[in-house]
Amino acid sequence: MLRIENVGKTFGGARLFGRGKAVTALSDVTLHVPRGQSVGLVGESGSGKTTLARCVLLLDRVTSGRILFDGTDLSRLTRREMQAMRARIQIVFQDPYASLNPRMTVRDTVAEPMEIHRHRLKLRAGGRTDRVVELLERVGLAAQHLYRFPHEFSGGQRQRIGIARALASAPELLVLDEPTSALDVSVQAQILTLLTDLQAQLGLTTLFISHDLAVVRYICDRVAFLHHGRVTEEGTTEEVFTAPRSDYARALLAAMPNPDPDRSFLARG
Amino acid sequence: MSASLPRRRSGLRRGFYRFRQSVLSMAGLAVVMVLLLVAVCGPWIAPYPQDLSGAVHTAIRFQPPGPAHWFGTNELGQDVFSLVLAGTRISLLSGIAVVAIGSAVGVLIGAVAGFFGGLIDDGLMRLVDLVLTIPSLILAMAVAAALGPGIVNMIAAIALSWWPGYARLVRAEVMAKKNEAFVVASTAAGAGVVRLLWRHILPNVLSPVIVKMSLDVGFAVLTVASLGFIGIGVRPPAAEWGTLLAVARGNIPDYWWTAIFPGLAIFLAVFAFNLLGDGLRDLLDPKARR
Repeated sequence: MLRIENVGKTFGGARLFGRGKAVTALSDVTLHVPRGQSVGLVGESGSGKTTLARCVLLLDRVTSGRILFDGTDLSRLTRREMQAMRARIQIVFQDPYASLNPRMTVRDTVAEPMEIHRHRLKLRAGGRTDRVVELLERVGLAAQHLYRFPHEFSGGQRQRIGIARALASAPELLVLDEPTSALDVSVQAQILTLLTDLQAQLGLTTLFISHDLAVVRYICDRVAFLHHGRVTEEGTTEEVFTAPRSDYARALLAAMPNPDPDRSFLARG
Repeated sequence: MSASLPRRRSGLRRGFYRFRQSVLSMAGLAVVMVLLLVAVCGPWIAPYPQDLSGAVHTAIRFQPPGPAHWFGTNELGQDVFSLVLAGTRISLLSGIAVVAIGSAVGVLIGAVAGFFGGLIDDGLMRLVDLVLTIPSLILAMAVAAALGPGIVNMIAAIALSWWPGYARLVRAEVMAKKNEAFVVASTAAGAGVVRLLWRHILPNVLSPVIVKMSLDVGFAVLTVASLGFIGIGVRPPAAEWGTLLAVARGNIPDYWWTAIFPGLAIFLAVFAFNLLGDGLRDLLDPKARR
C-alpha cells in the first residue's frame, strides 16, 4: 500500500548569499510496504530513517522520486487532500516524554486527531470522549486516566497514550519511529506485545523504524537496511537474517548479541 | 459514563506549596492584593473625599502627619493620605493597562514571527529593533504634544514602546517549542496554524510571559509616574502618584511628607510587583517542576 520509489532528499543548497553545502539525506530509496504487513527500517543514527519517516508523514517534501500511498502520489496532493491523507497515516514517536503536550490532559491529547478530522470521523464531543476511553482501554489504560496530565505517567504509560493518539484517527498506516528505544527493557517488551496485538486486531500496516535488530526480527515481516541514505539490503525478515547479501547487513548481524547464551562466544570462551 | 469520571487535577499544587513557603513572595502577593483593593475602592475609603475633587482648606496648610491627617496635608490643605489612596487607581490601572496592551501585541507579533520564520520573521524583528530604538518617555512626550495630554494617550504611548520586549521573548520561546515532538505529532495529525499556536505552543510559552508581565507592571507604574512627574501624563487635580510628587517637589525639605508618601507608594508598588514576579517565576518555571 505504501510504495517509496527512487526517493531522494537533499537539505540545504541555495542560500541568500552564494550556495551552502547541500546534505544528501536519502538517495534513490525504493521500498514497498504491503498492506497488513510490518516492514522494518534499520539503520544507524544519521542514516536517513527519520527523514524518510518525515517524508512519508508529509512533514518534508521529497527532492526526487515519489511516494505512493494506495496509488496516490503524496507530493501531488492539494492542501485539502493532504489534510485528509493525514488521518490515514499516523506516527508513534521515540521519546514519550517529548511527544505529549505537558499542558493537555490525556483526553484532549487523544481526542485531538478526532477533532481535526471530525467531518470525516463523524463524532460529536461526547462520542469523542467515549472513543478516547475505548482507545485507552485498547492500549492498556483506563477511564480513570482521562483527565490526568502527562507528567503523572511513567514512560511506558506515556508511550501507550502516544499509541492511543496515533490510533485516534483510525489510520491505515502507522509509522513507528523507534517506539521502544527510550524505554526500560522490561517495558519495551510490553509495548512491543501491545503493538503486535494491535496490528493483528486492527489490520494495521506498519513501518517500524529501529536500530534494534532483535526487536525488528521479532516484529517485522520484511526488513530494509538503510546506510548513508541508501537501501543496502531488503527482503523478508527470514531471508535477511539468515542469508544477508550485503556486507553492511552481514556486519550488523555479526554484531548482534546472541539471544542464546549457551551458544554465545562468552560461554564458549 | 461521564458522571463517574474523576475530576481534573491540578499539577500546580507543589508549586503553590513552594510559593507559600516563600515569605517574600507571599508579602509581594499580599501587598499587590491590598493595592488592587485600594485601586478599586480608594476614593470611597478616603477619609476626606471632598479633597479629591479639589477642595481647598487654607487654614490647615502643611499640617505634619498626625491623628487627623495620617500623611499630613499639602500646600492646599488637602489630606495627603486621601490623595495617595485615590492615586492608586490611576497609577496602578494605567500600569496594568500598559502591560496588558503591550503583552497582547507583543505575544501576537512574537508568535507569528517565531512560528513562520523566514521573511516574516526578518520583517517583524526589524520592526521590533526599530521600535526599541525609540525611548518610551520621548515617544510619550511626542504623543502628548501631538494628541494632547490625557490618560488614554499616555497609556497608548507607553504601550507602543512596551511590546517589543514581549515579541522578542515569545519569538525565542516559540522557535524553541515549534520543533518539539508533540507539536510535530499534532502537525502530522493535520492540525492547522491556529491550533498549533493556540493549543500547543502558546500554553507552553506562557510561563515566562506571565512572570515578565508581573515584573513589568512595577516598571510600567514607574513610567506612568515619571510621565506624571514631568507633567505630560495625568493632570491635577486628578490624583496620581507621579503628579503628586511633581507638585510636592517644591515643598521639600520643609514639608517632606507631601513628597515622601506618594514616593513610598510608588516604591511599594514597584517592589511588590517585583517580589510577586520572582515568586511566580519559581512557581511557573517548568524546569523546577515535573
